[in-house]
Parts: sequence; structure tokens; C-alpha cells
Amino acid sequence: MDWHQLWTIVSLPDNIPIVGMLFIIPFFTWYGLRQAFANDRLIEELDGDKALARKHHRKVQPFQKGWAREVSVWPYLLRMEFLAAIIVTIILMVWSITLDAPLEEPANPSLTMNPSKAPWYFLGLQEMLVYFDPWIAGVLMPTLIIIGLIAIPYIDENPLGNGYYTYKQRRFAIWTFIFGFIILWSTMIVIGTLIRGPGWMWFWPGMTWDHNRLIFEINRDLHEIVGITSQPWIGIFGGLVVGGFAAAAGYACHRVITATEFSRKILGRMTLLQYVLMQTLLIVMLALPVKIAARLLFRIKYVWVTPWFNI
Amino acid sequence: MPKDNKVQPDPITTKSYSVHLLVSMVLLTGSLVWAVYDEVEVMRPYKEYQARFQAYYTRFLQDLGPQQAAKEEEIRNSAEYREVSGQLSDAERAVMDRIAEIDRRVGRGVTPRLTAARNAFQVLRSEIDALRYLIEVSGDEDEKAGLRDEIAEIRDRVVEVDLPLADGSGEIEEREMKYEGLEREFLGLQQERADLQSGRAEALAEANRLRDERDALMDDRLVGLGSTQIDGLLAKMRDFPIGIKQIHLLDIDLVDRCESCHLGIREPVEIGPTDLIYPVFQSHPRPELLRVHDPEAFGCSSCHNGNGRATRNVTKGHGRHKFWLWPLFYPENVEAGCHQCHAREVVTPGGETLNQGRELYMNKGCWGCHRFEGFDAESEELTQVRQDTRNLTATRAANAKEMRISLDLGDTSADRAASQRHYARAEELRLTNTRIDAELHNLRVEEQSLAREVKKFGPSLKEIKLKDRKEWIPGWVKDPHEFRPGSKMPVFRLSDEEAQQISAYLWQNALDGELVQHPRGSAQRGQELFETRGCLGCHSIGEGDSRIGGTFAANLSRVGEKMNYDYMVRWIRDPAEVTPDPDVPDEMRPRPVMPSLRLTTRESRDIATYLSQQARSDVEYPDASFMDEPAMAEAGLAAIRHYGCAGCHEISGLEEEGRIGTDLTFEGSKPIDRLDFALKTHEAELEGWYTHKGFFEHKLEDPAFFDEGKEREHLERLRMPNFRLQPDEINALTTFLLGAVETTFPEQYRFEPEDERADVQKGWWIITRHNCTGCHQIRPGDVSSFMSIPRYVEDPDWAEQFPPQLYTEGARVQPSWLTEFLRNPALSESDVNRNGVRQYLHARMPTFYFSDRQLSKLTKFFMARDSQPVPHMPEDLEPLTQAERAIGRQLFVSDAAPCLRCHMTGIPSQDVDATAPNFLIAAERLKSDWTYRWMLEPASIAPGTAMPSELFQRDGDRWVFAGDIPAQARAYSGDHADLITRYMFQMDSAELRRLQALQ
Repeated sequence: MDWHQLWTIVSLPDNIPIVGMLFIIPFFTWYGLRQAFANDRLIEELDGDKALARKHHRKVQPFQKGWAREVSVWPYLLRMEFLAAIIVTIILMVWSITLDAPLEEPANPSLTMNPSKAPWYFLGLQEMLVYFDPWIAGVLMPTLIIIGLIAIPYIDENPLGNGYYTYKQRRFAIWTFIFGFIILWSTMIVIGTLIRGPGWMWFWPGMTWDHNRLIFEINRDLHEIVGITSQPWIGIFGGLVVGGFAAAAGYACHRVITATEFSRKILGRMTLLQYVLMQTLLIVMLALPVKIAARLLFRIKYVWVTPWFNI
Repeated sequence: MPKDNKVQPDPITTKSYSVHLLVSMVLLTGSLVWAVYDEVEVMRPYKEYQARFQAYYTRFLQDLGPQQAAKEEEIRNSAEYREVSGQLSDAERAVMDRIAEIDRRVGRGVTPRLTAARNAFQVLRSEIDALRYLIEVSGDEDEKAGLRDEIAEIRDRVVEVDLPLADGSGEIEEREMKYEGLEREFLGLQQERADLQSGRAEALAEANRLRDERDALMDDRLVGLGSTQIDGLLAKMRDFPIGIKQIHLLDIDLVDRCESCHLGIREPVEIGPTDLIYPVFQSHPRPELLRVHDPEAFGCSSCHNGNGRATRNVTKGHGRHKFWLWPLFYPENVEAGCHQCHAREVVTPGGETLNQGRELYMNKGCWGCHRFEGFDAESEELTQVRQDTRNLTATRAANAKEMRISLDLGDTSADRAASQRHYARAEELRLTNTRIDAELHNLRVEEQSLAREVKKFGPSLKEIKLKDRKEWIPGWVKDPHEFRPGSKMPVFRLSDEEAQQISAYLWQNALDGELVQHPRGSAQRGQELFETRGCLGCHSIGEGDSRIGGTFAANLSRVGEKMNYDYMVRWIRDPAEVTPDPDVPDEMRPRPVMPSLRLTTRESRDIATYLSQQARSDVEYPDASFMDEPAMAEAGLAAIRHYGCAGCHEISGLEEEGRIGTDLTFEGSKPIDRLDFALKTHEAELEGWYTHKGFFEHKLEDPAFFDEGKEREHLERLRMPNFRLQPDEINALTTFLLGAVETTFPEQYRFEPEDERADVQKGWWIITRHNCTGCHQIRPGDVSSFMSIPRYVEDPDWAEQFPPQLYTEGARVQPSWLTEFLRNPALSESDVNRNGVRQYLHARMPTFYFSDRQLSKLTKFFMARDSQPVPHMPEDLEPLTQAERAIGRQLFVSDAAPCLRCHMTGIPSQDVDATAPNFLIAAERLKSDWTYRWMLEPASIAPGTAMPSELFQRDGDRWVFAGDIPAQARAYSGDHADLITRYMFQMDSAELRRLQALQ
């Protein structure tokens, strides 16, 4: 166990946000879910007590006599936000005083540093480059992510959960978020920061980042494993595999979408366009962990090789 | 849910956040204060440095002031100072009244009147000038005419002026004047004032001269600063502004703030490391370097490295940071900074460590494997010359072909104009080829010259069959240091088998030849010759504490065990004599580094006999019959190629073999990632030597170091051999390599002179390569090998036997003579077994196999060092009159000038005790002006010389002999030293004989 190496990586000013993220993301996820579950219990209680439900206006605290039925944004919300703004400002001030900008050596166009890492918020993208060609990992997928984020309000037909935390009423949305953001995106950033060392090799925390490390890692294309050697068949085979994956993933997603009565009701309100768009985005999202697993566990480089693109 | 009637307060509307807000605001304000403090104090630590410097330096100067004042007082009380001071006050008093009168007239008379006149005049003139401008820009002639009228009006205008009287009475004269009158008055007054002032300066000239004389006297006598200067420094300290002190050089993008903390570095007073408590405030330890490299023009970090911009803390400022590529040189490597601009030099004045590093690079043979620009430049030039020759030959052949075609076309062309054109073309080509022929001729001459100069570092191995004992070779190849500790041949990482294979190849591919058989000589005479002829200038003998001689060439303590006697005789007599090599024409044959001492065969036998006896008696060499097996030789060839043996040695079949190492010319600026720390990377990072310095030091100490722990095949291992370097040698080489960087500085920063300073640069390369300093002292402080030989140091009879010092050789001798002397130091074609000049010396100036180029470079070197022009125009000396000749003769043999007691005469019986050169060669050898100076004060030119000083004494404006001289000479009215010089330069053998008869 090389504690010095671990400390070097963790204490790098560049990596402080990620180290913070390791704690902050689980905390806020837990904190949000706790409130969501509390609300779910309240919703259940109100569902069982029609009289109470009629008087009850505030979503969070049970209503009591003499309370205002509604509270104004000013001052009650804004004063909290003001306080939060001050605290964040203090944190930023102290941070900027105590940690200098992590400058490195003067840039030298003829010499690439090793490992050469993107800023921390791009490390997830950089990690994706391991699994897909630059055109796909660097252009297509990020574009799809942005389009997908923009499209969410137009896909989401669920009217519940506005302005309050709830798990029961937004189970599908929450799980999609946890999977897409926490499991995929944040994890890839953490891998890119803490795990990837010289030569973009995989170093478990505590391993020495040895520039001379050599590992035996031969990646093959799927068709080579199967034994197909000539082109039209390689393309056709890959197309079939990818198509098969899309079908299987689509089917699995559909099963999840239609798992409960509630979700079937939501589905019923969706148009075909909304459904297809959602399925496409979900299948593409699922492709990432599948490819990661194929690459890391089975050393598969490409699944689908064509003269124009490789996946 | 509680059912009681008591209403719970609403948590949203009633809860107070005052405390939260208060605490947050306090924290926020606190962080703001912290930010300001950080910005003003923490980020600017130099403020504290400057405050301390101000306090300590003021105290230091205050302590220094009285000391210096006392010294000054002492000088002021000296007779000489008082005399000049007295003269000064007399001179001042003499002109006092006149000065006062001039000052009164200028101050109270002329100047006020001038001011008044000028003011009035200027009003009119500016009005006129403005109108003139309008005329110039106006396009309308009528308008111009109108304006001209206006000007005429102004010129005619009468103004009233109050002019104070010029006599200084203070009375005012009211005058009515026009423009012209005012102008006249104004110019006249100006002239008057100038006259008065120049009269004042004239009157004070004598006093000023005396004052300068007095101040110069003070400057000469006073060590350190004067009290006025100290007061000036104290005043500077009183108003010392706290802030960044920086040097900004735009053309090299340099910003150095080093002096924000190193405040004493340029102070004119010497500040020691502890004088101001902290070493950071000391003054530059070598101010003479700053005088040559003005910090305002060079900055600090250009030489010292470090991060000149950083002022946060010491670590950052010094660049001792992983990400700063040019960390400050450590004190032991500080001279590394010189090399980037002094890259053409092998000897940089003042850079002792750096020079040692370069000398080691040359004389340990590093360049055999690692190219370094400048080292072994001859072989690169030779390649270039050969390439040029090939290109020109090809061009010439193409031209010849085209010429033939043009001629044919001219012959057959029907059109007269066309045929003329073809003939003209052919003629043009013929002329071009004539020029090419001339160029080719020059190239051929140069090639032959270069071929003589190119020398591999080690001895040629083509002759080992004749030279060495067969059984000795494998052991030597395996570990040379076991046989000869400190040998320049390094220890390669060879297996026993490889050593045997290499030996087999060398043995089987060596030249066969016949050696003349020599009988044995006298070992006793041989030892005497070996120790006195000059062998010890380069070679050493004896082991451990009993070792004497130089380190340039091999230690010969065991040479008898390995070397063939007959070969040794041949080699000692003439190292250039070799067994004919069918592959190499004689004129292209490289000459050995070892020079010829022009010994007779008998002397060579004596020395060889003595050296053959230098052997251990109890050593057995194992059988080496495997060296004749062809299979072994075949494997040996591969090993020789792999280990790069041909980088240093001439080996048959490997004449064209290149270097196997990496080019080190810019090794110091190689990115650190490209230095192979291998498995030591992590250790180096943790221990803080993941730097160029760390790499070089570890690599030089043990070249196999970075192989440690590596799992490698035998032939994959690092190939660099171990030179067993001493710590100081490692440091010197590290310094050199750290400095070997690709400079980013523009040309004007680099020391690449084209004038005679370039001759000095070039000359040092030859001197270093041929170990001239093994025998001669060229710079004051040089230590020659002779200074370690007991008899030279201990026996007073041998004190005059040291080879001459060459401090002022360029001023002493004529360049043409020097060239011939270096070509053949015997100065004779027939009588070569002697020194040409100092025949009384046992040590002999050897014949080096210099090419014409080298001879010219060496001559120019000595001339350039003494600022002597080449070629030299000898001064025309006045011919001696009969009377002068007679006086000269008398002086030469008088007791006051016993010249012939020491100087050689050419008669063996008289020359037994001679310790100085013969006068006969003076005229062609020496420069007359130097000779004149030499006779007056020899000790200041060559400290420790046997030539007596104070032979002459001053008499008015001439020098006369100090001792008892003949009456006729006493009556001579001319300069005695000049007479002697002329007499000497007109000396011939007849005259010398006459002198001897007189004696």
C-alpha cells in the first residue's frame, strides 16, 4: 500500500472537488431520499384521511390551526437562500486563499505530459474515450446527453412531485437519475481522477503510479473472437449483435416502464414519439455500461466494425 | 398529532435566523480580512526581508563608516596627500578673487539683464513665428501678403523694456527697443555670459587638476569605500522604498525579482554571508563576473536558473519545484550556467569546475561514444569535407558532360547564332570547372590536414599482435582497473566469455608485421631519461603514494608485464612510425596523440629497458590459445559492435563504425521524462533527486545503477562502462552536463566572437587535447606535472629545469617563429636530438604531429591572448654605430650585466651551467619591445625567473645600468636597455665569438 502515492493524488488541488464529491453526492442523495420517504408517508396518511387532506395545504408539515395557509417567498425563502449564499461564499473564499491554482510546468508542444488529464468535470468524457472511438465518445454521446437533458421535460408526462420530494410518485425518474448520473457519470469522473495513472492504465488506489509499468492487455474485436474474418460478414455480424442488444435493452426498459400500475398509467399518457425518444436515450445510456463491462472484463475492443465507423 | 388547544408556533414564519446570519456574516468578514492579509503580507514575504535588510545594512554601514573614516584620515595625514592638498588650496586661493568677480558679474549683472531681454524678445518672436506658420499654410497670395505686412508691423513695433544694468549695480535702465535691437541685445548678452563662464573654467583648471590628483591619491590608497560613499549608501537606506525590485529584459522575456530578497547582491561594499545575519543579504561572491555580465543586461536567472518571477517563498523563487524546469543550480554546480552562452569553449575563464568537467569529457574519452558539439569536431569536418568533395566531383563530371554536348551541338548547328550560344555555354562550363578544380584542390589539402588531426581517444588496436602479450589481453579487456587502477579505459560489463571473444577478434584481425630486434639498453640510464626527458608530463609511474607524473596518459607501473620490448623501442623513438596498413593510405593515416621526444635509438632502448622492468614478478597469465579460434573472433565482432569499442579505438574492419551513445550536446535541457530513471523513479521522487542533477550524479557514479532490479537479457543491459570517477570528477561532469542546454538566448547574449577572442577559444581545444599544461603553465595558477616530481621541487639545482611558463608567450615571440618552433621544436632539420631554444633543459619540448591548421590556430592563440597582431611587423631597430657596438660588447661582459654567465653561447664547455637561451636566435624569435621590457622588470613578467631584476635604474627619462660599468658606457648618453636590446638583435656568431674572447 503506497500511502504517499494515495496522498499525492488525493491532495492535488485539482482533485479536491472530486474528493469532496465522493462524500457530498452520497450525502445529498441520502438527504433527498430521506425527505422523499417522509413525504411519501405523509401522502399515505393524507390518502387515508380525507378530512385532513382537505385542510392540509402545506406539503411538508402537517397543518396546524392558526398557521398561515401559504408563506411568502420573501422573506421566508429568500432569507434561507441568502444564508446559503453567504456560507458558499465563505467556503469559496477560504478555498481560494488556502489552495493555489494547480499550475504545472510551462506548456511544451513537443512533449505531452503523462498522464494527461482533462479538467475534472471532463474526466468522465475522457474516460468514455477508452470505450468508444473519439467521434462517438467525444461528439455523438455528449450531444445525445445534452439533447436528452433538454428533452426530459417534454418526455416526462408525470405531473406529480412538483415542488416536493417524493420517491413513490417518481420512482422511474429517480432511478434513471441515480443510474445515469451517480453510477455512470460520477463514477467515471472518479475513475478518471483517482484510478487512471500513467499510460491511462488502471491503478487501484494505493498502487504506485509507475511510469515503467507494463501490463499485458490485448484487446480484440468481437468478430475475431467468434472467428469471422471477411468484411461484409464482419459488418453484418456486428450489426446483428448491436441490433440484438438494442432489442434486448428496449425490451428490458419496456418491462421496467410497465412494471407497476402507476407507471402503466403514465405510459398511457405518452405519445409514440415521446416513447420512442425515451427508449432511444435509455438504450444509448445502457450501451455505455455494457461496453465498459465488455472492455474491462472481456477485453473486447469493438463489437461492430464497418468501413465507416466502429462501435 | 397533539390535540391540545395550545397553538404551536409556525416553524417557518416564527423561527429566527439571526444567530445564523450573525455567525455567517462574522465569518464572511473574517475571510475578507484574511484575504486582504494574505494578499498584503503572506504573498509578499520580501517586505519582511527588505525591512530587515534596511535595519541590518544601516547598522553595518554605521559600523563601517568610522573604520573607513579613520583610514581616510590616515591617508589625509600622509605627506604626499598634504602636499597635494596644500597645492590645491594655494591654487584655489590664487584665483579666488577673480572667480568671485566673475560670479558677481554673471549672477547680479549679466544674467538678470539677459532674462529681461529674453522675455521681451520671446514675446515678439513667438508672435512672428505664429504668423509665419499661417503664411506657410495659406493658399491665398493676398492673404499671405497681408500676413507679411503684419509681421513687418510687429518688427517695427517699439516696446518698452526694463533692463537691469550689466555691471551688477542693480539699477534699471528703461529703454524703447524694436525687434532687431532686442535680438542684438539678447545675443550679445548670451555671448558675454558664455565668455565669462569659460574664463571661470580656465581660471579653475589648475585647481581642478590638483583636486583630481588628490582624489585619485585617496582612491589608490583606500581599500573599500570612502566615507562619502558610505554616507550616500546610508542616505539610500534611509529612503529605502519597500517593494518589488525587478530586472526586465524584453528581448529574452526575462523578469527577475531575485533582488527583492537578495538585496545586498549588487552593493558596492563586500558583504559576507554573516555580516547582515542572514546569508540571503550577502553581496555577490564574485563581483568581477557581474562587471562582465551586467545584471541590468543579463538578469540573474539567465545564469543561475530558478524562477525569477516567483516571490511567494524560497522554494518557488529558486524553482525547486517539480514543475519548474530550470531549478536554481546548487552552489557546487553554479558554473553550469556559463556553458549555454560559452558553448564554443573548452576553457572558460573563471569557470574552474565547468572547465574540469569539459576536460574530463575530453580526456576520459566520453566523446568516443557520446557526440558533443565541439568535441572531436575534426572528424565531423572531415566527413563534411569528403561529402563536399563528392558533391563537387559529381558536379564537375556533369558539367564536363554538358560541355561536350554543347560543343558537339555548336559544331553541328546550322544557325550561326545558335552555334555561338552553344560555344558560349561550353566556355562558361569550362570556367566553372576550373573554379571547381581549385576548390577541390583546397578540399584535398584540408582533408589531409584533417586526417592528421582526427584522433580516436584510445590507442589503435591494429597493432596489438606486435605490441602486447597475448595472454594479458583478455584480463585487461575484462577489467582494466584491476591491472592499472585509475586507467582511462573504463570497466565494461562484460562476461568472461565476451572478454575472451573480443580479445580473439582483436588478436586475429591485428596487422602482421616485422619489428626490428633491439638489444637491451641500460635500465639505469633509461630511468634517468624517463624521469627527466618529459615522459612524466603525461605519464605517471609508481602506485599509490609513490606515484609521480601526470594523469593525462597511462600509468606505466606494470607496462613491462604486457608490452613487447622491440615494439616499445619503436614506439618511444617515433610514435608515428607504424606497421603499414594496406587499407589506409599513409597521408590519410591519423597521427597518435603521443608526440615524439626526438630520442636516439640508444635512448629509446634505455627507456624501453627500464620500462620492461616495470612488472610484478609473481603474476601468472592463464593460457589464451582460444584467441586463435575463428568462432571466438566471430562472436567477438558482435560484442565489439555492441559495446562500441570502435568509438575509441582503431580496429580493423570497424573503421567506419559510428558512436553508440546518445548525443549529449543538449542533455541538460532534455525533458526529465526522457531520462531513464527506470525502477528508481519513485525512489528518486520521494528522496528529491528526480532531477537532471540527480540522474547525472547517479549515472556517473555507477552507470549500471538504473539497471538495478531490471529483469533483462545480458545484451539488453545498459552498456555504459564504469569509469570509477572520483566525487569531484562526478561533480565537474554533472556541472558540465547541466549546463549543456539548448540556449533560448539570442545571438547577442552568446559569446561567439569573430575577432581574436575566437582564436583564444579555438586554441584551448588544441591545448586541452594535447595536454600542453602537463608541462607548461599557461594561466597563472596552473599546476604542471613537473611540480609533483620530487627532484624538481626539492633539489635547488633543478629549480631552473622547469619547462618555461607561457603567460606572455604571445608578447614575447614572433608569430612566424612560433609556428616554426611548434612544427619542429629542435629548430633544425639535422640536429634533432635537442631543444631548439632551451638546450640546457633536461626536459624536452616534443614534436607534436600538428597539421598546418593546428599550428596556425596555436600561434594565433598565443598572440590573441596577449593582444598581439598577426602577422607581426618587426620594429625597425636603429643600426648600431661602431661606438655603440663597442659599448654593448663591454656592457655584455661587465659585472653589472653578466649575461653570458647564464645565457647559452653554443660552446658545450661553457654551456654546462647555462640556464637561459642563446642570443643568436633572439632576433628572429623575440619581439624587441618585449625584450626591452623584460630586461627592465623580468620578475613582473615571469614570477620566479632566474633573470635578475633591477639591472637598470632610472636616470631622468632613460634607463642606465645599476651596477658598476665601464667608464665608456657610463659616458654613453642614450638608454642602456635600448642599447642592449639593439645589440642583442644584431648579434651574430662572429660577434658572439668576440664576446667570448673578451670574457
